Amino acid sequence: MFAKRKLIVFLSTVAFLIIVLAVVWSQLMVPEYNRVLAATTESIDFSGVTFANEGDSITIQSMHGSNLIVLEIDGLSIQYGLVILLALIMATPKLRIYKRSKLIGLAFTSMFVLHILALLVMGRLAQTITPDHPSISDNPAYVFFISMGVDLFPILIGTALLLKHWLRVFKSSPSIDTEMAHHYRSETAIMESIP
Amino acid sequence: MGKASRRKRDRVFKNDNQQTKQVSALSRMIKRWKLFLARNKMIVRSCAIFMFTVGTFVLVFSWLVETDTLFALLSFTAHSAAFVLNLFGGNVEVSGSVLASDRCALNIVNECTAIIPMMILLCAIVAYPSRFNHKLLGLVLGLPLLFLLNLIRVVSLFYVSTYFKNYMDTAHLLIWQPLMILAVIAIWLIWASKVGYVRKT
Repeated sequence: MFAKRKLIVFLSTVAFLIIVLAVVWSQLMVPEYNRVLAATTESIDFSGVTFANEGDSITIQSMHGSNLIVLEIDGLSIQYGLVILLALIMATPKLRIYKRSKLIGLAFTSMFVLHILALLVMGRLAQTITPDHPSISDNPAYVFFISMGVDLFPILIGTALLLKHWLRVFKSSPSIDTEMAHHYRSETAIMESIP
Repeated sequence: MGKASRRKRDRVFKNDNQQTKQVSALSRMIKRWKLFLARNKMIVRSCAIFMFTVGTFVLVFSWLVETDTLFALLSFTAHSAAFVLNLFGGNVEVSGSVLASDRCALNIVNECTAIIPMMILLCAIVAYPSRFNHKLLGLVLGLPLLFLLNLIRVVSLFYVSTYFKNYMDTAHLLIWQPLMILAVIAIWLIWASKVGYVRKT
């Protein structure tokens, strides 16, 4: 179904782009993206949880009774999915610039919304922390949005945006052998039909 | 017929007309959805199976977190990585799920094992309409491949942490995590292209 060579070239290009984009993103975009993410989440959350950007990390503070709960999230760990989606879209061949830009915009918007959701979930879970139950990593919401989400959401968004195009672009063309076999079968069928 | 009754009749007719338009718009929408579902039965079925398997995994995983079962997996990953590191001359010891040498220590957590990429691949293979033996083949080949790739990840991150500490976060979160995602997509695409799909009639 897929042309092996085209697929290998595509996957190698994606891997190369991941490394390049990771270095560029980590040098240029991490603090700004975190600042915008924390500010946006803070502006839409009305449950009393505060989200603040401190250097390379995002801090979530919430009051639980008389206790102040502080969760610090590494900045890079909340920015999941951006590099892989950008690499997939840039490496996909035969995409017009307009379509490519549109896909990049869609991918970034979807991931931004998911990052906000992840922070909101963490904020809610922070409010459930007690001295008897200090961990949130066993909560299904944490597992879905954070543990699994860092891998699952980029896969879902990437395949939703690009699978149809990949099926068209990476479809293998009929080889000479199959064409000859088809021709031979046709010839045989014609010969057999002659009384 | 008087003017008032004519106006009343027109008003009733107008309301009836609007209601009829709304009802017909709703029924058109329902018909379109039914047609979409009928034409894309396989895709809808696959998506439903995928979501069900993902949901089941999320619940099972959340029960297993911080239990001995998952800790055994963390420990196994740490021991496997230590074995490979010591093969190349590293003096690495394992204590529980912590890999430690003279110069650095790494704690293997849930997200450092290959369990999540493996489960996503499993859900994707189970959801794709194909023969059972093809699914089994995909899982038998794909899951160990992901474990192996994760092992390479842990070993390489240990070296990065030892010699290039400043790049540890970039390598861990921005390079290796996307590469694991790419591996899941690649394995599934290659498997799906080899097996084809089974159309149930």
